[in-house]
Amino acid sequence: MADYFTDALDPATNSDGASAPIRAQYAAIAVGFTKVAPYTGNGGKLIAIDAAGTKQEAIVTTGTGSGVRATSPTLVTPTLGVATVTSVNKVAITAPATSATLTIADGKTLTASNTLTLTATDGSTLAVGAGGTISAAGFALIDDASAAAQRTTLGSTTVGDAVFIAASASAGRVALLIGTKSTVASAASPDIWTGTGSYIDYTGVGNATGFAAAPQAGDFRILVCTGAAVFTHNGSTMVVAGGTFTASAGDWVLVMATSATNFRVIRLKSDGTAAALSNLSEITASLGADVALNNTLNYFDGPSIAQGSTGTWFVSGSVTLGDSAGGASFVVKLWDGTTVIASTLVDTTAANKQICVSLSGKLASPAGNLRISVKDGTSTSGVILFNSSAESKDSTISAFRVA
Amino acid sequence: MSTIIGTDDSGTVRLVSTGENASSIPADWNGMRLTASVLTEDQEDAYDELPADRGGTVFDGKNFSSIAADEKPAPEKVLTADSLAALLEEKGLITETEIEETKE
Repeated sequence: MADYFTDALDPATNSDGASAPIRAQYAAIAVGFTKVAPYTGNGGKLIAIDAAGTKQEAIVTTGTGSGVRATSPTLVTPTLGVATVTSVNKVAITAPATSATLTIADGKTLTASNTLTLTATDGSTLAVGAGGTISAAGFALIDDASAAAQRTTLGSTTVGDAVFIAASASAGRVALLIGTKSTVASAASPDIWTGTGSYIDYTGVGNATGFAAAPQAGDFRILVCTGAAVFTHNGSTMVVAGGTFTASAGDWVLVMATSATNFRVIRLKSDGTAAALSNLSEITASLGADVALNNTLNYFDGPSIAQGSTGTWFVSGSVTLGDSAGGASFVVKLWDGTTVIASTLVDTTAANKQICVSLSGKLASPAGNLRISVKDGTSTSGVILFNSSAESKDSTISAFRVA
Repeated sequence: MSTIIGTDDSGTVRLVSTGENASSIPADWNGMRLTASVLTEDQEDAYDELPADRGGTVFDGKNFSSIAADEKPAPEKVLTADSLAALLEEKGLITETEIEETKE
């Protein structure tokens, strides 16, 4: 038995059931179903109206979950290709004219705690190391103690500490030295480099004839002396401006390393006066008692100083002379016991009349004590007076080292 | 700057210097051996308070005393035959025997 209905035969035309209208309806329905996207082969796809607006089509999707519409969609871990946005999480993103790149290494965080603008020559690298050392294009702010060890902090929490910048051993670099004050005891060769700062309390009264080896040329320290420490000049490894000196408490002493083992030393006095140059030292002496000229053939020393045999000295002095026996002739000379610098012959007019004689001159490498010596060629009653004026300076000699 | 004095064996102040180094006072002066002393601040004050018109000063190592102008040591005591002989003997230039022979 044939099927009750087929589109071609059953029921036959003009038979019961009016097959023609049914068949026409069937054909229309069949056409409609051809516009429905088939399920087979389209699992997971979305159904859309095709561009002609004539039928459904299954379109390929990516991801899972809800379909996305234009306003306020929620996307979970979406993968975006070339996207255009104006802000993300309230962070405005300014589109460059063409393209730009923001790269953050895996697992890292970029945090800007303040508004910041970074500018540099294109291609520069700004590296902030784990120790906090900043470097730019390979030129580092380096630790004063070791070029290899990067300083961990910049600045100090101690009020009054200072930060100094000095030349580094490498051209184009500077050594940034933090002013955290440390303490170093004076010694013959104190280590002023190991401490954390360039600003050092330098204690004691030791005699420094050098320093422990510096990490590199260009390193320096400021020593704040707490006592009468001595810095000894030797002209080679230890060059002390003005020569050897004894510091006073509060004096600053600047030590510069011209190499690891050669140093320059400069004194900054705490009272603000210029540092006395020891090679320009001054010595003064006055007679403390009269000197009898009791031999007419001999010179007797008046005021005298023991200045040593080094250097060139300008010496000036005066002696007050008298003779209780009558007018007398005095020969006066300024000398070092060997070389006469200046001399004169003077006369007094009567007994106990006094005369002041002044002599001055220059002498290099004195052989002995600089002095003014007097010979009374007239009598044995002559005297070099020390206090006829009641000022105790009647016979005085002063010498200044000038070279 | 400190005051430095040079005293002879009797304590008489022979030279007065200023400076920081006691070596500025000659050790040997006019045949006398001088002892240099750097004065303390108190001693400097005491020295300054001595009579201005004094004829000399004596320092015993701690304190000062002044010699009146009319009591200053006789000049001939500074260098006498005996003191010269003692100096020459001290320097090994003459013996005690030779000194006695010279006196004879």
